[in-house]
Amino acid sequence: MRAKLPWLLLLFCMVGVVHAQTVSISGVVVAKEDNLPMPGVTIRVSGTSTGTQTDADGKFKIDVAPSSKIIASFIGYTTQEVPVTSQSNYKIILVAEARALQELVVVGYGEQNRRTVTGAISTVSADQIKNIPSPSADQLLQGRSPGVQVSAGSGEPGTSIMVRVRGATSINASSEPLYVIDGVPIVSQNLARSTFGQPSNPLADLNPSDIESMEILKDASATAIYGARAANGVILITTKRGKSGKPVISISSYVGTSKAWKDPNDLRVDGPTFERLQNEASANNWSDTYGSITALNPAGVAYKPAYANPDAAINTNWIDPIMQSGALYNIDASISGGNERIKYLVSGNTFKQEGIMKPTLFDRKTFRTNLDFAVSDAVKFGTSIFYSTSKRNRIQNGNNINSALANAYFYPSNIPIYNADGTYNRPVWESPVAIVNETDYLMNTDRIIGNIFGDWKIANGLVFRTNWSVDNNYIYENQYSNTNLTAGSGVGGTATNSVTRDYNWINENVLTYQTRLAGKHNFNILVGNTLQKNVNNYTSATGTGFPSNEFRTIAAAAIKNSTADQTSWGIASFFGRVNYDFSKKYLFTGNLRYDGSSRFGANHRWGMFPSASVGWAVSEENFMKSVKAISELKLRASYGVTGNQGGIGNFASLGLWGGQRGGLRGGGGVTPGAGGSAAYADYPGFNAIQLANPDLKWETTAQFDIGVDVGLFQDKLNVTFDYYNKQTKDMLLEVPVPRSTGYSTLIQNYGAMENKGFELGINANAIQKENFSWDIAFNLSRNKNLVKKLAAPISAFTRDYIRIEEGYPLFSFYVHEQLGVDKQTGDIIWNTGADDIFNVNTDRFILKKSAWPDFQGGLTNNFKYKAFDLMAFVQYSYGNYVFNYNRYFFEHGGERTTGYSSQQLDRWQKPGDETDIPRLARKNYDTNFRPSRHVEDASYIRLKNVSLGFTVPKTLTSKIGIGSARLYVSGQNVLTFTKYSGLDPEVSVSPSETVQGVDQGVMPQPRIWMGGINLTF
Amino acid sequence: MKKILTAILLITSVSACNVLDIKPLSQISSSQAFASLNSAEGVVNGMYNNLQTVYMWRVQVISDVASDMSQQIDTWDALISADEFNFSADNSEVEDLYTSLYRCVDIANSIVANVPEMTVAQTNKDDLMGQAYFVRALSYFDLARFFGGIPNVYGTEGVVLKLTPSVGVTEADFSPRSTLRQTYDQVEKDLIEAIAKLPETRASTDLTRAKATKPAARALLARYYLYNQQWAKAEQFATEAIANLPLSVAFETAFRSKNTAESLFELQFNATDGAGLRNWYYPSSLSGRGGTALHDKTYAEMIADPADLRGKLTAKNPTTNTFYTTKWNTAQNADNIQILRRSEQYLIRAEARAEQNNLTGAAADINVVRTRAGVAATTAATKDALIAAVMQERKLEFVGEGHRWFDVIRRGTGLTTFASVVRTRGSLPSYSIKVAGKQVLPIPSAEIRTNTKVVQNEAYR
Repeated sequence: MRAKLPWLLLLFCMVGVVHAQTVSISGVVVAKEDNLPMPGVTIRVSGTSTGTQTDADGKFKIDVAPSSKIIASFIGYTTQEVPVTSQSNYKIILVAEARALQELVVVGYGEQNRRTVTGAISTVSADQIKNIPSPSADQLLQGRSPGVQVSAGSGEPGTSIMVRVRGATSINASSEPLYVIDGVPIVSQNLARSTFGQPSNPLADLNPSDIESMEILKDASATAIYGARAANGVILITTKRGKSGKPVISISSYVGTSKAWKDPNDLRVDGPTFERLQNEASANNWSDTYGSITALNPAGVAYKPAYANPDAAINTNWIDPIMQSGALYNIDASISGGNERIKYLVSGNTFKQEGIMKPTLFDRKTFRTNLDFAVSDAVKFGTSIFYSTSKRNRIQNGNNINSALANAYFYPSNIPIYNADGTYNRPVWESPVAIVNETDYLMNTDRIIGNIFGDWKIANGLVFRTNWSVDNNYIYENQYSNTNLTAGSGVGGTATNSVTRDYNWINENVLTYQTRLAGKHNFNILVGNTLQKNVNNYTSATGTGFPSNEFRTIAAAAIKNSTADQTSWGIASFFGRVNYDFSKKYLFTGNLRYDGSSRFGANHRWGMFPSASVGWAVSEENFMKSVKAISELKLRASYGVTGNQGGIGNFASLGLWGGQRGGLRGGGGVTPGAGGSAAYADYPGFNAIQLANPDLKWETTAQFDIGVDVGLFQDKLNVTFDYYNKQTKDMLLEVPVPRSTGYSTLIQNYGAMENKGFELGINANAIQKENFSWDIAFNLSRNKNLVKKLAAPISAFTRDYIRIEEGYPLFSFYVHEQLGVDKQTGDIIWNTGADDIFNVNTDRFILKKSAWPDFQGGLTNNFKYKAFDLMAFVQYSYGNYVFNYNRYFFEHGGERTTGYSSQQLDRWQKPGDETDIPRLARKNYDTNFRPSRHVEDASYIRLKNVSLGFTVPKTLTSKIGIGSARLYVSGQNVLTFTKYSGLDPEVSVSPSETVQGVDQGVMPQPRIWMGGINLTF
Repeated sequence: MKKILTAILLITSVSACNVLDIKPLSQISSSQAFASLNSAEGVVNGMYNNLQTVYMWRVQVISDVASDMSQQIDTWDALISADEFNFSADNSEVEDLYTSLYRCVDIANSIVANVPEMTVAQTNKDDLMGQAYFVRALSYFDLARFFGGIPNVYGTEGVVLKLTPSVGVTEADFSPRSTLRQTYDQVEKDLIEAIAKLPETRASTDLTRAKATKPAARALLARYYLYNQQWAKAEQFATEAIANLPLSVAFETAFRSKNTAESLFELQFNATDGAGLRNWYYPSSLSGRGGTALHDKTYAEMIADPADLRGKLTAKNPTTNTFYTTKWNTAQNADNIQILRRSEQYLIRAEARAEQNNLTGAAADINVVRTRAGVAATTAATKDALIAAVMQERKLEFVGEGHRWFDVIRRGTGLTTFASVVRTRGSLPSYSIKVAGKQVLPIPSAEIRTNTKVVQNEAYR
């Protein structure tokens, strides 16, 4: 289209010559968003072929007939018609088109037109995530954006979600991205202090329906403005704000029900089968020891099976009593509107989701008020105030030997739930039924995120903004074990109440200057500073010995204990950015941030984090204008350095002595002794808990990114591709030190890690007809992680199952490699290394399989046909492995007296059997074996969400005074395709950042069916 | 507006300093630890606190389960491996035991290094340092016997000897293991130093039992010479530790009451500390874990003589059909742990006397212990019979106290005694130790990974 312009103009000019009786008018065209003059705008006289173009200063001159109209048009802007009056000078303001408006992306401390962005940023809009039941916004990013890996560790509502932007940069420091809501960097780490199953997720405090958009800043150019906390990417969350116009009231609601997508009963082994398996193992062991089953032992006694009559075994189902179908509902209501001076949005939300296991529950209520107030054209104030209160009922779930689901398999099915006297039957630790029936663990969070900001337009293009924010978290945990639980039985009940207050204040001051020189050189310059301080207080009280199970408050306890602590950190930063473009063709962005953190010693307190990026909008070049198919083509490259200080202690550089006992595991998972006070009985004491490292400093990540954005067929097909290479060095590493020092680790800047990968995003507007449309969004990404340098291998999970070692990616599994099972003998064929003898201590290897997927991403299809809409969202992960720790316990081959899971049934039984589950015998199931068969391919494709909606015709709704109404039904985790034999391929047992892809009694994802309605008035 | 701007900039620059200069609120730095006598006593208490980690159950349960005394009947395979003579180098209980012992060593080293510089009275300095020497000796003794072996019986390699406090980590921390002799010699040296510096008694009976004293150090030194087959010295220090006192405390009372005259050194525990011995043995219906039980054979021996009062301190776990010791029975796991008991000194002296052919003296000492237990005098009359009687007496006397494993090994009968042991929950008909190298535990793989100069014990290579 534009390629034709010069010719057309020539034509217009020639035609113009022949016209007579004209007046000469002049004017300037400016863009509404920045009030800057626009060059190259086509000015045409209505009904004629007369026309011209604005010059470099946005000015034009044209001869027109009196009382005609002039038309100003520019790609991406709404065409404007202006009647010619007696005046001779005109100011035409062009408003960007709605579609182009959407292309405005939020960047750190500002907004930018996507076409001039040189960094790697993906956007997830409100539209993509609306009406999807999820307690937290981060979960909604799953499969939506290339380069972002999201896994829900468990199906428990409100538990932690792992989010990784372009891999993991660190071992001991955090690899979580920084979350910034409306400019406020918020707390996203678990604040619950109770080590009770899965950690909780503070992002679940937010109301997903408040979100206008989420931008994921990925490369150094986009993130470096957040400097020291940007190495793991930054997720900017922008909430909805009021717009000018009459009040809009919208109400939406859904109700649904959830169940485990895969029935845990599928893995259950019944009572008779349990006894037969135990007998089979003991018979095999007898034969192996004494030569044959008929042989007598040295004492002259014959073999006797452990269970005389398996057929008569009782058959207890431990699964059904702990599972439930959970109800959920959500109600959102908001009112927004405003005028030139004041814009407002007030919203409220209530969301409640019951888990698929008893008695888990997440119940949240939120309120938001967003106000924008213009005092004058130059001075504006605004505020965003958010309050959230939520309640969680929790149980032991995953990551723990006491998890209810794990115990439902641990408990053999040949024993009854209750003893004859009605008490819980409890041969080993806690009964799963007792856990779900008796556990009383409540967690309440109250959170206020609020900010006030002021904008002062000092001069044309020069704006000062100051922003003052708080993020205040208050967490109340109450854990009560009555005498029906092991923990409470011998002591007359035990309860722990704790209160955590995590308070942050943040101040940011930013000065921006926007100007255009010589009509083509666009500058956007920003300088600013921020300060943030965090204070965390914790107080806890414990009571034991309650008069009866009716008393639950510690006031009634016979023995009372308490503890309290306090800690704090702060960060101060100065930053600047220059965006420059030449005619929107040649683009440059430079960032610099200078950060100081209280966590480091005075010598290494400050860190400098620069980045630069360039872009070339090829499609803006004249020679591209003739290529009609290509509406956008932009090449980008960036390089920069970002830092990380998360995840380490607030005083990690100091040698410390404290009143806390130096850390050791409790042993056996439950034995008291870990943590606690360093007092010696009633004598106050303290001990050395940390070695000093005065040289401790920032962990730095250098990232190179090269990308291309392509828009085809008038942007009907958009493709974005990025390749990146992230190199982290000076990792904040808990370097293992000789235990003979009295310590196991010392935090040091040591080691290097690499993340390389590519990302592909495709959006297609496949069909756009009046009655039918089809939109497709697809993304695919690959990240290859590699630990490049390490002082010594680190064991990251119990039994050394996950080992971090130079030359391997994180989350690699360290096992005895099982090559197969001998078809004749049923024994395991091991990888024996150099010799032919399997040595359990030395023949252990890191598998070339890790929890990292080779590829992962998502595919969304949106269809609209007349009043109907259909959405299907598929999410996938390929090439990721999960260590099925459950099988280590439940596929014990007779080595344990606890229950089996059904994988054991595929064991070798007779010569010729082909299986990877060996013959039931001690020599194949020694508990020191870490067989590789438990590391399973957990690739999956999941129809994550599907919804079908119907929009009630306006003719109907207007009659009853409703603006619009949409009804829908939808499903979540509807279909899953995977080879993984456990309950869910999408698992992670551990709150530890160094452990991923371990399945130990983790609650599977819920399958949700629901129906809803959206109304606006 | 400009005023506001100025105000903001001012606030910003002032608060930048506040934001970055943050001192620890719940901890202190190393330089403050020895600032005053009070503070140094806090460090000594912290050292005992770390000793709690070692002796809350670890030494006792690991070694008893490893021997023919107790068995592991739950699913905790780190201890099941111990029960089946099947330790692996990645065994987490072995790693925790090793690490917690060195934590005690490090704190003791800090006290030994820093106290001499303090400006407090010499008697205070001696007391603080004497306690540190005592705890360091106890720790290295445990490290030596668990991971190195018994002189002249099994093993030549000791453990890494670290005698200075850790500040950071230096090249010197990557040292190889000392010889077994060097490790044991360090124990002896520290104990002699401790005896010289420690007080005879403390301000109260509780304190005398709770913290190291001369008698405690003498008792430990007697045990040391017993392990080193230095019979005369063993007899000498046992005699000093006994100090002509009879076994005046009833057997049950020695455990069920705190700080009785039976104890020469008793580790204190309250409900917060949580000693774990009871927890391992007691069934879950009594809020224990019920993971550890006596071997059926041990129980049979304990009740063989119905008069034996020691057999009364047992109970049956009805769910698992096994028996457990009830020596420690406070529901909050608030039992004290008796580390050095007077009856042990009698039995040390009995053994030492028998070895030196003082047969009547040996029999007399055995009978002191037997009389209190309510059983008849020993009938053993020869040297070998008396030594066998001492061994049997030790087995019955120290149920659950973590002596059995070492007693059998130091007498050189490990391979025959730890053979064909039947576990009630075992998948195999019985279990045997089979190789001499398994009389020591593996050095934790975490240590071998980090300090490559440390050589693994031969059975675990």
